[in-house]
Amino acid sequence: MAHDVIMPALGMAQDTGLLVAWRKAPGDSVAVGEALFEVETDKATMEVEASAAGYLSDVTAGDGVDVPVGQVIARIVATAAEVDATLPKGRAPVVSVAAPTAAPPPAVVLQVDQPKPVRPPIPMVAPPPAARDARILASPKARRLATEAGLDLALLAKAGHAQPFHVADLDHLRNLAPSARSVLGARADGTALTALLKKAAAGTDTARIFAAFAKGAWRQVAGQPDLSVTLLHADGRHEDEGGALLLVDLTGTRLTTYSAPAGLVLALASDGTAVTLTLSFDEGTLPFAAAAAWTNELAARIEDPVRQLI
Amino acid sequence: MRELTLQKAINEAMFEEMRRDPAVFVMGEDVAEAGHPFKFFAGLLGEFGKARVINTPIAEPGYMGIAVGAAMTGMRPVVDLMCGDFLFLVMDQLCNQAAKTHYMSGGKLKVPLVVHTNLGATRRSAAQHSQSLHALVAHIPGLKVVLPSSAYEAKGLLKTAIRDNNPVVILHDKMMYNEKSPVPEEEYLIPFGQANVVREGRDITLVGTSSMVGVCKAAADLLAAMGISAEVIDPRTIVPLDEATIVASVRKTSRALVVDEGHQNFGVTAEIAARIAEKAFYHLDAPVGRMGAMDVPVPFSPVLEDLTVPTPQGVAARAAALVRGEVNYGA
Repeated sequence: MAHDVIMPALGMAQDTGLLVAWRKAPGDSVAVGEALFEVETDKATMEVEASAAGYLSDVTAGDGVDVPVGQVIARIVATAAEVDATLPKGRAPVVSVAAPTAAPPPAVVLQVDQPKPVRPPIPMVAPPPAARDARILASPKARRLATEAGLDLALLAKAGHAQPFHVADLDHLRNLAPSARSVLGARADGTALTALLKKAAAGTDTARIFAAFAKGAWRQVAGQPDLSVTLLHADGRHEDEGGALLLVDLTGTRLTTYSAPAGLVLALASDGTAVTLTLSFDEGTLPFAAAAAWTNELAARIEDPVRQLI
Repeated sequence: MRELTLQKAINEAMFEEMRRDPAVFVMGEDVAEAGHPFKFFAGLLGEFGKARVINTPIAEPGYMGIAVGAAMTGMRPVVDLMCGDFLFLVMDQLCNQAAKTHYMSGGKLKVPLVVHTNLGATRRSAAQHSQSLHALVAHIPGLKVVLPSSAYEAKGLLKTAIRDNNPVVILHDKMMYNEKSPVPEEEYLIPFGQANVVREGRDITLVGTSSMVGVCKAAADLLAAMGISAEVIDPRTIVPLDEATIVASVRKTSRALVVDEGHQNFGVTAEIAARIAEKAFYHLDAPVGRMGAMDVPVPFSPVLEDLTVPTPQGVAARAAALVRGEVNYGA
């Protein structure tokens, strides 16, 4: 087994050692403890002894060369037959720091030619200061639980609740948060409406008649200006996007009810004799009494379309 | 079950381990005829003789060096440092030699050394004999650091320390030497790196070391009277540290207060609090609290000395403030 001969570190702050002279030539036999080469550091010149017995081989640093500590500068091989007295191909020669006139090996030139990594430019404009008023202070757990429950901590802040928020404050937040969805259902006799539709021109859109009834009922109950309506057909087609009410027309299908996850949504279905109304809404936005009165009036207009004219 | 003082529990552990393994010997100041000022080693000289119960001169660096060499060459020394403050005298032998030899020898050498010493203030021993310096050695990789919290813990942990193949520093609070706890007659060992959940709770985790385990237990009683349920955890060993048990507890309770008798600056409370903040961050409902000894040389005045160490009342007050969301640091 071959042993590597390295440039030893002989001082605390030593980066390189000047190889003053080899005491052995390649191919010489060496014994453990025999002087192998001399090293000069900034403090002294010392002899380095062989730590293995055998034959000196693969010498890669010559006399007078400054070698980084730890670098392999030769090997000690077991038999004379293994000795390689020439510099092996492909092994980079040690660059002499002490003799800068020596021509640099090609590998070094290549490195110089390589483009330097481009450093990203330092931004000259400081980022705007964070809007402190917008930052909500909450414990990590309170923030995580609020996110998981879909609760908005900003509502607590708006309500003037003292920060930082803790898990216990989430109970207050649950009371402030929009209430769960409410659903109101109604049934109306469809006989009169069916009779009316038979008299109407072919291609009359039932959904638009319902929309007109809904707007009329809204005006009467809420005393509010016109209600804007978006129509949604059972095939997914939308008409008049952006309305405050989503009117879902399920007539002409076997579908009976639809309650939507958000917004003000009214679904209308018909089995030929009766019309079924399903209103889904937030009580935080539309109080129950108003929703009930409106739905009831709408059902009444479907049963007696003349009410729409009064 | 019979009750023993911590001092007697250690004495039993020494007898048992010295009978079990002839490589175990004890060395230190006044350990032989006197059996140590606190009688840990009383009777050992009579049974095991002068070769295994060795009195030393007042020369800690010297005998610690001897012990490290003895450990490297196959013995299992238990070295007594009469005061934990004398750790400063043996830093090179302990931290540069004992802690690193196994690594630097490529695993060829082991240093099965036990340093038996103490910590703790309020014994009116002044600034140079009252320090709790376990964080100093816990900082050095290669040393295990053991902090028993009762007589039962002291016996089981010391026996494990003597059988460990690495250097172990075991520190008892000197105020606990005469405290009794149930200790079984039959032999037992307490493994390193397994924290003890001393008391289960719901609202806050109190992590205490050494005598601060007792302080945390007393604080938990005070908190219970306020309607606050505190969990108390004794890590037993700070190196190795049972991080998993501590983090799991804080994930459950959402709050933590770490109590240790070493100085608070750069100490054990800082390390454990940082690990909680890292590993249980999204489960925290309050900042992680910590209480160490006041960052002053321990005063000789009894009135002032008592102010430097966490008390059950102080721990309970801080814990209650954390639970009530009152610790905001001006947020």
